[in-house]
Amino acid sequence: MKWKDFLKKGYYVVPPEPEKTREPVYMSWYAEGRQKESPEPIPLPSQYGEEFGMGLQTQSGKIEFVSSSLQRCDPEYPDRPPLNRYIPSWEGLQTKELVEKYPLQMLSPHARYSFHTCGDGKNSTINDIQDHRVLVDGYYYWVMRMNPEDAQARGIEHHDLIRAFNDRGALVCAADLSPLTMAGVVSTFESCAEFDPLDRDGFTDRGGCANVLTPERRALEGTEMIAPNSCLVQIEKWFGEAEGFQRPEAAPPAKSTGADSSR
Amino acid sequence: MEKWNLIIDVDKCENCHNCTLVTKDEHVGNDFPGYAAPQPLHGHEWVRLQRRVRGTGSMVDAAYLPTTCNHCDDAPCLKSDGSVYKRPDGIVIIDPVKAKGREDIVDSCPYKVIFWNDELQLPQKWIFDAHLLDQGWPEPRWTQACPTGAARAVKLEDPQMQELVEQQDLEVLSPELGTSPRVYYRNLYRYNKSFIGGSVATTIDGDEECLEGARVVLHEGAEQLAEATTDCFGDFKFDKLDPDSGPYRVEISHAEHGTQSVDIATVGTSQYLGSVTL
Repeated sequence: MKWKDFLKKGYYVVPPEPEKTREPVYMSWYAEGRQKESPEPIPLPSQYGEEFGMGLQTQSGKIEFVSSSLQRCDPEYPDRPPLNRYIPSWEGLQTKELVEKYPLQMLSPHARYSFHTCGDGKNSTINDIQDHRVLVDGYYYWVMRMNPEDAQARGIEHHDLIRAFNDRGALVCAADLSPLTMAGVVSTFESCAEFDPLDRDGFTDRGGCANVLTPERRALEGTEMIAPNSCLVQIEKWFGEAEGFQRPEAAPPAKSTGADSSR
Repeated sequence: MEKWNLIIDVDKCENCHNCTLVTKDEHVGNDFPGYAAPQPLHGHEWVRLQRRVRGTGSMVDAAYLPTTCNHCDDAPCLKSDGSVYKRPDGIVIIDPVKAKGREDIVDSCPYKVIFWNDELQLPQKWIFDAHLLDQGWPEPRWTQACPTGAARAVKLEDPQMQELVEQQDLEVLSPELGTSPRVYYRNLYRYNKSFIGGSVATTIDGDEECLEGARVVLHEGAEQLAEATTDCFGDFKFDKLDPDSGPYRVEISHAEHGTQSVDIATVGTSQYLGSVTL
């Protein structure tokens, strides 16, 4: 269509792609017993059990409900059984002893108003969003969402400062109470851009770094699958600097890097 | 003369905060002489989002209410000796020169949407992006940035706008203040009304199952207010009730599974009755 005609008509209906150049139906090559026709370079030739490009890249070339590679490798490995099944969390509601000390399960999904550490802190206007940070006594605190029932049992009110803690560390946050979080579960965003420890040893952070609470343990040994939601905490009201916690001594003034540090 | 109006659909707002952030992006550190002086970095909410969560357990809903300067036709702030004026297109502007030192303008607003700039000694608020409209923008930056279409700006003659208000059931915030706001809301009940809801279950072949198709009737005193049928989850919901109103009686009946009724003294902020077994 000519530009002039387009302007006159005001629209252009894009015709459907010709049959020949269309993407084939996903996995039709497998269903019809043909060689894989999708152009992506992986899986590599070594990953095919028999002929290159024929069948799936499992050892049998078929969909496996019981993985033959895991079956050969280490069928007794408890973290990764050959047949998919539910594995109770090592830090969850059925870990009785831990739950007695730390009865709340803490989730830490991606932040909504910042992207990883980008946008948060740094005195940005995003700090003014109360679902992101809450200004209490001149400091913008990270938010911990919790159910009003759990809060009431602990004497916590909306936007009170709270201390969430477990054996790994502690976090000072502002509480956001609403039934949007179910009782027994608390939720805070991961990847805040501030780390502002109140003490040197105890790891009480008021910047909002959920990593001080979440486990280092991987979902499965030997892999990089993180398991941050297998995390139990207890929460209490925070009355400023608790006993036993000391603010670190002031560090010698650093040379200016040009970064905004007006907070 | 066609005038600007803002229409906000509370049902469509999902708290993304694009409106608050673009307004800050537009005004923090930027001076628009004749329109608005720079907004301070923190503390001002020219556009404010308020949250209201109703219900409990498995029947909760959250509504978000964007509020801002209502650009009222009969605004108290307009009675401030020329420091605040209304343009022919309906937009209210606080003159950033004449209004210097006038903290009383902040207090004059019954909607509390004017903010005090301590550094510049100025009252400030959302200017409907008048500086952009005057440059030929077809709509304010707020509505352009709204991804769900929750906020839209329309430029209409006043009688046409009143027609639209009636057609689309638009409301203004606190109409009792009598200031003739130009910011209208749809589905405001999501924020300022309450609901009564519940989930109906029954026993079929020894298992507890959701009961679809049960008839639910809501009574207030002797009067029958509304009727509903449970969905495939056994859920029912009577919405748009006045907060703290009551007492109510909910009667649930099903031809095969019998009847059950629940008395509610007051609806409060909303009531989820949980599971009701027939």
